[in-house]
Amino acid sequence: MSNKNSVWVCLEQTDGKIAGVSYEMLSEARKLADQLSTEVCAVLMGAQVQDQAKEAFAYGADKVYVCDDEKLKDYRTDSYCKVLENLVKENTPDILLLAATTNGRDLAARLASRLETGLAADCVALNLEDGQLVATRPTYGGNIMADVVFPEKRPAMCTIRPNALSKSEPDASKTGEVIAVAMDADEAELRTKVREVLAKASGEISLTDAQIIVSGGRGLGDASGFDLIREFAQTLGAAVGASRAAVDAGWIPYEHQVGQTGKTVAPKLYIACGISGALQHLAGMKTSDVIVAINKDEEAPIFGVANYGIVGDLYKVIPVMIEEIKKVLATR
Amino acid sequence: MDFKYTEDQLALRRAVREWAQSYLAPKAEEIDVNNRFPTETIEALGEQDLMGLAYPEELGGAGYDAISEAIAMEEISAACAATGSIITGHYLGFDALYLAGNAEQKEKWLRPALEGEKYAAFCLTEPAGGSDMTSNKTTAVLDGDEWVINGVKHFITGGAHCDFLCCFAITNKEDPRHGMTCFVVEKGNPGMKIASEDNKMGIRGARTAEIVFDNCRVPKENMVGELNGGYRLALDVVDRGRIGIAAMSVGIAQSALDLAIKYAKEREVFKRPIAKFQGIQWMLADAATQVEAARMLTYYAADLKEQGVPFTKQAAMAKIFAAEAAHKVVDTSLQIHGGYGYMKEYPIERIYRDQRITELFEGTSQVQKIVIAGQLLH
Amino acid sequence: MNVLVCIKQVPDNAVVPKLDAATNRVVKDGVETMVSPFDLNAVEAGLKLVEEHGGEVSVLSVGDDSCKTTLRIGLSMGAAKAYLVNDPALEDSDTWATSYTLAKAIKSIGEFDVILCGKQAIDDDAGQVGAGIAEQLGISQITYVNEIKEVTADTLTAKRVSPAGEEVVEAKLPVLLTCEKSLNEPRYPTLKRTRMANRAEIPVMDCAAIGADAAKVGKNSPSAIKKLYTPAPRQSGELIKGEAEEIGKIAVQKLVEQKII
Repeated sequence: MSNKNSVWVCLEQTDGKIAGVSYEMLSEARKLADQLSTEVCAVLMGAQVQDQAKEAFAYGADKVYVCDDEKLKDYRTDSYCKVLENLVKENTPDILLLAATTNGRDLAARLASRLETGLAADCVALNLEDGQLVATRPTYGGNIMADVVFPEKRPAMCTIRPNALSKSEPDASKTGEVIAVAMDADEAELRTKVREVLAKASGEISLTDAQIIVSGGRGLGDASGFDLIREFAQTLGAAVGASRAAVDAGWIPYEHQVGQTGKTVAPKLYIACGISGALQHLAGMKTSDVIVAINKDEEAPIFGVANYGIVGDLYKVIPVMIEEIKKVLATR
Repeated sequence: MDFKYTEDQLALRRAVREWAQSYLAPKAEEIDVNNRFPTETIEALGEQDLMGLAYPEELGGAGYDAISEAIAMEEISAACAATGSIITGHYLGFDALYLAGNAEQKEKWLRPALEGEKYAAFCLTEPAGGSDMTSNKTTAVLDGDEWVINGVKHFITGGAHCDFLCCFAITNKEDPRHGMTCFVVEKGNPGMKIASEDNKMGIRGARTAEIVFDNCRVPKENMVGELNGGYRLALDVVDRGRIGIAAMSVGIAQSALDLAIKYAKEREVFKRPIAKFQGIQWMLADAATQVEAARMLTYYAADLKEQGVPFTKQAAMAKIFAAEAAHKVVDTSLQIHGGYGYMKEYPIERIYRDQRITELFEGTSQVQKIVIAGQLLH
Repeated sequence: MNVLVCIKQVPDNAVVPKLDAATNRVVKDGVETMVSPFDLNAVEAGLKLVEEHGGEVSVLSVGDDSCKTTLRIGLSMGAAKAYLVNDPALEDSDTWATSYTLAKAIKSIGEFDVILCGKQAIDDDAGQVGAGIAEQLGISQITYVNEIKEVTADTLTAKRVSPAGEEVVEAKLPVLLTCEKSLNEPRYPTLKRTRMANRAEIPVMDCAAIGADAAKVGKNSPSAIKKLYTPAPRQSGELIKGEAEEIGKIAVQKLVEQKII
């Protein structure tokens, strides 16, 4: 194994906790590094994060560079970029992966610009062809996929979409080298400061911004059915939608209506509950990435566009799903 | 001959379409269901410079040409036909001031109307006299420094919501053709009362009213144009307005066609979209041809108006042709929608009702034929 | 306060993009264009800033001559000046090359207190150009801004979307912001301003004029697109039937397996 042309992962952490996408990146980096016969190096930046460093070994890191400094408590472009820039310039990695979160993308774009190197955004697959990285990423709202290559400049940089790559089984027996890195940026050089950190915005998520939408229709039976829909949506961090029938019945205001005469949406996940799937409704949601339908009537047209069609009583199925989802989220 | 849109016209169509589709279209159903005059839309139209689009900038207008005005009317009516009618009513309402008003009148009423500060209404039609203005009964009599108006007007678009209206009253009963005069009556005049608002089949948001003038006194300065010159003035205003109705019809037809195409591509029977069937394709082809022909005739009439040459015949032709084309196209579109088209959850149901007015107001199709024949034979 | 907004012309997103297999490009001929929606939020934010603090808004775009249409929309919303960078050498530029070009153009145009971009263009969906410009200009950046809180003589404070929620960040001026949709509601161009915008002269600059090295951009970009393709069609639906307890669990399991939740 050589430390030349290594594959690097900048670990994403929030409040000192390494985020799931970091392990997905490490798992992928390990695969690439094995094919390239090189090593995987991780970079962990933050305050009070030192103890987390070893977690990276279980997912395939050979080395973890840790920069633990109070000045890195909050993510700031200038400080994080400076540390990473120094490491990259010293160690000349071949590939550098960052998370496609708002922070990862902020940092990656700044650093790539500084290093005059290529950066592919929001990648969902990485492959090697003749030893060269090919990064696959969605463009045009997911309508077109692009394979991006990096002819000369190194490192080839990518931000990686969370949940897109699979995480390998952690191997707790693995260890590696933790290398402490000093933070040498002066507070005066840092052009931004975080004045306030706010928890996830409370209240209802708007339909057009939502990554996940849970919609209710006539099958709810009455207005109180939306209490269950709201609970379901809250569990998933989703927005609440509705069919025209539910809006016309006065169960929920018009701004929730999805369909030809309501809003057109294309979230990553659309869950239609008690919605038969009139053309009117389908016109507003059928380009969603994944559609799940819950309906008693097996013949309901909504099943024609659903990736997963759950045939059953929504009042029985949804509470089970809510519990199951809570269990899954608790393990993360 | 030049069939090319100007840069202004292209940019205008894009801007109006975007605004109308995001602001007007989502309201169209609600104002129809609630039979509600959208007061807030008047303000928004003013902000977009749509309340005096093709009038000179020095008077407060936006300085576009007549074809641009037709394009804007098309786009607005495609999003919401009732709003198209609301604007038409406004243009008719102040046009007498533009054509015949004096400088003070233009400053007092025309400028704020063009800038969207004031909404105007056109007050001509009466229960006994529609296109036959000689049967009008409303009178105005000079009493000192004031004119006193008495009579009943009906079907007045925006009558209950306007800031002022141009009322045409008989000032010489012996010879109405040479005995009609136009007067500005302002909102709040104690002699002007809204008797009722109508419950219409379509364009329900463009509420029309019955207005009673009961010893309604207006200052002498409110007389527009010459004494007894109102008959000719009203005809001129209506002539100019016909192009607007033609454009409104084109917009309605285009929206119905667009819905039909969309639906035909989506709706599947026998495992394929109905758009794949030749029967449907021919219906769409016929409808599209109607729309395009109506549009060309409308732009031609608008172009003549812009050039300042006579356009009465072409405006009437455009109006009747476009209105009847819109009738055929909405009918075809509803037919393509099948049973769904008959349901209120599909917008074609409303558009089908909205369209019908275009063959009735500003002179029925039969009256247009009288106008055209008159031009051919005189 | 002088503000510059970078805006991009993109194909109308109401149209599903088609690929031209021969050229490995998205078909643009005959496709309606629009201003990338987030860029309109950026223009609106710029107009609000100058309404409050004085100064003027300039809009800047890179592309062929047809992009003047996009710039005119910026002018018709209220921008005072518009600039276009058009050079055949820029074709196939990646995000690095584009931010390099824009930064060079901005330097050649003048001094700005605030530079605004949309959070991403809806064709490429990369969201990298804003930060790239900030780096090339050596100024601070706040990305994914959903509220501008305060502007002082030498700082700007904004709320941004962070991975954990939101945070309020204070930056030294000059600053580059990238704008979220929820930042504001872009105004519509009025028709009087649309007419004025149509008559405005839009200066067109090439690489030489802005001092950009043509050897660094276009086909010489650090990254390149090897292939474009349409994703595999949606797999046919799967019906899940049985007892509620059971099918609820299966459904969640499937969503987790497929990494949907």
